[in-house]
Amino acid sequence: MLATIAEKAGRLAVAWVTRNLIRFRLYITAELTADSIKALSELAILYSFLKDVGSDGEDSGVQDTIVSWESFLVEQCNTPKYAQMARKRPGQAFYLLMPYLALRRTGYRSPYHERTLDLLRRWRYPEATEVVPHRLLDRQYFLWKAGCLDSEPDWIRQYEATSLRYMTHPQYLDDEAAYVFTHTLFYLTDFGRHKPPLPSVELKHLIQLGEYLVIHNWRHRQWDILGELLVGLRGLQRQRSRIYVDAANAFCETQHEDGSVPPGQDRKISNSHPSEDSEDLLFRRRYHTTFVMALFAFAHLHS
Amino acid sequence: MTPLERSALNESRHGAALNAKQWLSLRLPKRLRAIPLQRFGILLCERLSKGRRPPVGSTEIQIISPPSSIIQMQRTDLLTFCRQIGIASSETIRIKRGTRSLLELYLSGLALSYVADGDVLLGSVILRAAARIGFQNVWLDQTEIHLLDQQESDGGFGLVAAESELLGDDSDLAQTRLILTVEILWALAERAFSANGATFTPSNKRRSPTALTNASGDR
Repeated sequence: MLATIAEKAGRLAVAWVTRNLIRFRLYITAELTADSIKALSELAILYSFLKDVGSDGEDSGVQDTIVSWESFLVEQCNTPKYAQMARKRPGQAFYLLMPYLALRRTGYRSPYHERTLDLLRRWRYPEATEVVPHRLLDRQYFLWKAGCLDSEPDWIRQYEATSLRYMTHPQYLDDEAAYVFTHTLFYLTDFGRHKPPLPSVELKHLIQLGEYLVIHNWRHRQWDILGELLVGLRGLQRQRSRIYVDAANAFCETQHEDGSVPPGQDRKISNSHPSEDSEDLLFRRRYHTTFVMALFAFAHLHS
Repeated sequence: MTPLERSALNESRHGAALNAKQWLSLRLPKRLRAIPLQRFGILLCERLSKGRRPPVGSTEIQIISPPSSIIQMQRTDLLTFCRQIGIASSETIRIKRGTRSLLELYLSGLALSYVADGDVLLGSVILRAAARIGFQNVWLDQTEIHLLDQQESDGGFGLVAAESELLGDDSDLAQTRLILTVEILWALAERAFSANGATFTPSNKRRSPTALTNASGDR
């Protein structure tokens, strides 16, 4: 039952993204903004995830749909003024190159960006940029998946450096802590597709913490966080638990007929640009949670 | 929770009741209508100390909705729902077959979620309802410990000084603390009875809530 609902929700979400592909272009205005890099990065991450799921034999008709995403992503990544930016600002290069790294994971190579990666290695980046432990995990995960590391990161050590082990009193956790939880689980579970390589005592702790956060964010109608938590719980193999099924059904019910998913009542987006019309605003408000819906749906269906 | 931690929680409840009784006995409510509440608080302290059940009503209650329906329930509706459970006698609470464990999970998660938002009053009422049904789990333990940690050195409960100041002249800090103190004591008394039955005999020693919190947080 949930599988059917999830498959429909996933396909609708992917179709909505495809219809709105043009809105993901980097230069909506003359200036490159953090919002547009973030949106294109998330698109590229979802694209590489769906390609992975497809190569594992998952066939929900999305592989044909996302063909148009690849040419769009390649075109955006090769925009000269964007491509040059990582060489101008090596301290931000990892974040700037995220769309390319996600594409690289799928096998694509750009000579220009490859040269940039060589230069960055010579300049000792991204290591020369200090990041907090869960961000380091994020960096290691994407570099590893993009084929930029010689050996697989030590995931247990990476996990132990985060604050998750100490989150034993969930009533004191805020949204930032929930973010640390969801994103650490993204990487440790390969976006819900694998059980994390952690001792059973840690897995039990993460399940308990995750289930509490599900109830809390479900109550607050924080749909983007709830969807991300479900991806983590899927990775923790809780997809048959009643709380997972109930929360997943509640999450799927939030999807609009056009396939988009609202972020939730408490979520805010940054100030709109004067040139944005209402469709743009709606897009900016919903694209992230719609991505989360697609991630959740195909992580759930993957077995 | 280990038996040692459970014993420490019993001691903390007992100590909290002794301190709260002192706070309740020494103060004279500004408003006459607050006097019954003050007396009820003292009664709860005495019952908690003696391991006797808090007062029970004669209401019967049937919980037939899917447990997930309580997650997004409006605050006032959830408060009413839990207060109805809280005054029903345990024997008359009927839960739809096959939904008990999920109701326990959601109710205890909500208790912790509301105290996480600073809504100590609703957290107390949910905790009391869960205890009345007979639910016991780690989230309820953590909610109770959180409530115990709200006790001030004078014996009253509620870290509400800043909120009262914001409300200005309309606020009555003592009245707010009286309401919170009584609600928390009621939840503690119900939990004490639910956990120990009528045979509970507290010792004279008291463990500090902080030490207890740390102990329960260990994995």
